[in-house]
Amino acid sequence: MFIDSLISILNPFLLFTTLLGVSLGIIWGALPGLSTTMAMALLIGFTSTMSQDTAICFMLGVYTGSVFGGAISAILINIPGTPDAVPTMIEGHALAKKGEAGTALGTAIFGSFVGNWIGILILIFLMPFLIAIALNFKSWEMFLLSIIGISVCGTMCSGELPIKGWIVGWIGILIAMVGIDPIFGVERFTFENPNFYDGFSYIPILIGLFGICEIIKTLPNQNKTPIPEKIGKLFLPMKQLFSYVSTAVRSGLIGTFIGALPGAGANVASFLSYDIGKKRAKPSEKLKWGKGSYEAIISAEVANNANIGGSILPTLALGIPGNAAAAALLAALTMKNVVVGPTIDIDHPGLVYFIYAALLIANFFMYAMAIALVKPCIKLFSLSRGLLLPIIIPVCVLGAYAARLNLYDLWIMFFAGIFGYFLSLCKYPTAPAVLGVILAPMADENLRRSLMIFSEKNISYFFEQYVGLILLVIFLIVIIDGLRRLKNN
Amino acid sequence: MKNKLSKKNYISEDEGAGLAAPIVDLVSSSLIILIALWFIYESVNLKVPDQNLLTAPALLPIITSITLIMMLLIIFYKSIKNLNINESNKLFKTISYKKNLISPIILFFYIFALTNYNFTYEIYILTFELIIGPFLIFTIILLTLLLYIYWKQKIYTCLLVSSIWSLFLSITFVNFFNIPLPGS
Repeated sequence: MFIDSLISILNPFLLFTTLLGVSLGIIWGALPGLSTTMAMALLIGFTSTMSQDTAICFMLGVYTGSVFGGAISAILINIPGTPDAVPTMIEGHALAKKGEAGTALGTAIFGSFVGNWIGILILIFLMPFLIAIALNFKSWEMFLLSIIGISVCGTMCSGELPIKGWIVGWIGILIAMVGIDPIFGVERFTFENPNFYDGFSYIPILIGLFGICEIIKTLPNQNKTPIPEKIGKLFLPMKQLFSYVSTAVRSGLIGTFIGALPGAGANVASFLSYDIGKKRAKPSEKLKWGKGSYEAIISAEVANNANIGGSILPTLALGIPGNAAAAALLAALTMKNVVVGPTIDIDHPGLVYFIYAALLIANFFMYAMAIALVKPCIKLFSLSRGLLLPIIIPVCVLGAYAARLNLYDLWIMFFAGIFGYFLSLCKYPTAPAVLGVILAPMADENLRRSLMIFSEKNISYFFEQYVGLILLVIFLIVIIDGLRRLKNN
Repeated sequence: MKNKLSKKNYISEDEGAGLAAPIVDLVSSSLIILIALWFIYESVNLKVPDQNLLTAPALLPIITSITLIMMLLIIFYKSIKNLNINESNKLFKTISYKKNLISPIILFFYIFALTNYNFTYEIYILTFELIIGPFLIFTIILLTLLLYIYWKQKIYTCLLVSSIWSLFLSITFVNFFNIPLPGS
């Protein structure tokens, strides 16, 4: 099945779409202030008229390219293109100041390539197990899983003060409650306005929260940065790169695991891997951390790229996005009538293998295009953000409109952007709102269905749901840990 | 940045998230509490089709709103405890309202125009269809304004860039992506 998918993706048009996605992703990620999630959210609209296979290749290309792209500006101009590139910025820019910008970039490209491989291999290995486990989940377990997803996302997005992340996640649930109730067809919070009957589509919400909000936030605060003229040679000797194998494997495992946790994306992965890498580095290497260490770049870049495979794992197997970028991927798949979750292999035979194949191809393209696009990207840094950000606004509008061809979605996008801006001013994270909106319908239906079943049985039936009990304990641990952090804050 | 990295106890995905100034947390938590109370009020008035509260459409909204209020009360309490009126006044004086509100206001009028005006004139350039409608016209106006304010170039340079970009998007979306433009 996998070989068949690999052969089907070797079609020139799909290869071109993947290449286009990767190139767009690298350029987007390299531009400071434009994040991976923003790229994914805006480009969903572009996929509305594409075929399912083309849309998958394009979105995965953008995802793979943009995660790496952040490293280019981080190393060359000391501004992380994406937030997860901060550790790369610390080490890479220190090397750039010593005249080793090229080798720092080459190491980041190599680390990203290896990280993607680790993430994809773990994804391929674990997917059947996770699907097999998830197939046994009933309504109660699915409800708990969705609530755990939102809570963990809240914790991961607001580490010092998880309660703020939960608040935003809960607001997301309330937003998703607007519309016709799926069980009885009762109107909820619709003001009898027909535009509200279908609820809020999460594509304009994603574009508003990660596109419009970022533009409103960044436009008034523009800084000029010095642009380097030369970057030198790109690659380190192979012997030196191979000396970082154990670091790469460790970072890949960290990145993939973090990616699989709802809400924890490339940012947490790269910071955590950087932190652990520093503690485990050899004394001679440890001295270089913070002053320009190639091993540190490997730690961060392998982890944030392995995160891609990790984030796709729960998205496909459970229908719970691993992070906001995976939520955008989920939105693109939903637009193509793909229902993700434990039955994905039954409902869409071969799709999972196609996604593996698309990821592999995107990774090879990422490696090639990263080398090809490094120098043109330097020219792009000279573009003012005052020019760049306004011209993204009509792209946001077209993306939000294209999904349902509904003008009303433009208002949803606008208000989601204002809401996101309000959240960031009040120091609330935004990603849990997206997870709340996406997972709330699943939580709502499954809670009511499971309570109906429980009400017909006696109390011992509840305690016989062992998977549910384990999930309930996990949920309580997440909440107690969050409250403990609140107390310590 | 290095110091910030070493000081952090918990790594989080959103670097900016955390406790805000007490007055900001006070205002935001009060506002969200009001919204949650409205959700409870509306939920209570929702129909219960089979008279079973366990399957009522209002069940999750009520549980969510109540727990949301409980969490917000913690933030509210923390902000009241740390509230300092003088510091709050200073904070409000440092905010540049004009600078921060320009782009949302312009954007509001842009969306308003796109959703309220509907006209279409079709022109063919070679084999490409160009639709002159609200999207093209209002995007040129929006971009010219924003570029003039933030890019700080001469008005005709901004107009030229806006026109080229708007024409490019209009032609590409209609001819290559087969997606109709808003308002046309």
